[in-house]
Amino acid sequence: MNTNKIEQWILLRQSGELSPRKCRQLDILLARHPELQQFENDLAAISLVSRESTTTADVPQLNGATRARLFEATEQAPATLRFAQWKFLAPLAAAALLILGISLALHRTPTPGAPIAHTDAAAPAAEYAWDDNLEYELDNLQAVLANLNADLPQANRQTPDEDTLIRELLELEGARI
Amino acid sequence: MDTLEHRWLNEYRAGNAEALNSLIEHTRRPLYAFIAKMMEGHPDADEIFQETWIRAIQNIHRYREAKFLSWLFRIAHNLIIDRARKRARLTSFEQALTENSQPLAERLAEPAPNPAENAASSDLQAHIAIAVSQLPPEQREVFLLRTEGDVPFKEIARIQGVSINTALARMQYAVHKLRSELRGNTIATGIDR
Repeated sequence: MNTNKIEQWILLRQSGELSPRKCRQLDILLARHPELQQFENDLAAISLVSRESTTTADVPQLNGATRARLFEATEQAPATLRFAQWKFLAPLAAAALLILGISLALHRTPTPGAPIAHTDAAAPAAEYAWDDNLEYELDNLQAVLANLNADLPQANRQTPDEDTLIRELLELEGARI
Repeated sequence: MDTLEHRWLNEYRAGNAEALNSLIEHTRRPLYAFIAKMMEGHPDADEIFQETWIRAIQNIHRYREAKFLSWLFRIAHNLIIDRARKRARLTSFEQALTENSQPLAERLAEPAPNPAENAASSDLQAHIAIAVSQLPPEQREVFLLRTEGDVPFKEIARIQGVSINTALARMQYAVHKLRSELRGNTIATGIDR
């Protein structure tokens, strides 16, 4: 390995960008080449001396006009950041909408006489796994309703209104309890 | 990211103006040192320092860097380049008016008068400061980004729009030149650092 490359490794180690494996290799190389060790020492010394040449006392404060503009911007900042904060809520909102959609789909009542949607037979079965389950649930629901209808008195079987149906269902529940 | 910087930034984004003061105070010295040394003591340094902060806050929602200070340096770098271009245009104009003036390239390469240069001081810091001011601008910038801001080479390469190898080579040249200055001074003053 040439000197140039090793010096670059020294620079990268100082900036924390050299991998631990290369750091170990570098230590071995530096132990063998004192002139390169000197480069590392000089680099550290020069950096320190240069940094110390400017003290905080030499540095001006931000002037009044700048501060006024900065704090003016601070007041506006929440407004400008509103969209940025909103972005974090977007996935949550999407998830909530998805859950709402699923709930509505699960609880929808089948419209009498509505055509039953058939899935495309050519489509892969895996894509319809969720729909199959939904169909199964709907079938169960229809069976429960059919059983309920069968349990109802003969006179009430035909097109009962909603209040009557609820009352009868409550009676049935109470009877079972 | 620096934990403190991160905390202040979050507080500032939540609307706490005091956090901005802490952030300014935390980055004031390295940022100003970088600008002042890049500008070779030019009076515009203070103006760029102020402008860097204004640009930073105006564009805070675009901030994506790992380190806030690196982002400030990037803004300062752009402002210094803009200012140098304006100065170059002005210099060209002035030069056109004076027949026997020095060529533009030479004038730009020449560092501006620096108080430290005028003082015949054997102080090591002053010697290094002079040597740094005499480095070519691109080498000086790499050196200052490393020493003042601890900016990693990967980020320096991004700021300068060069490869990481070029950034490393610039730093190597700078260190070699400064080493000779350091050695010369050590011999002259008998200081062994």
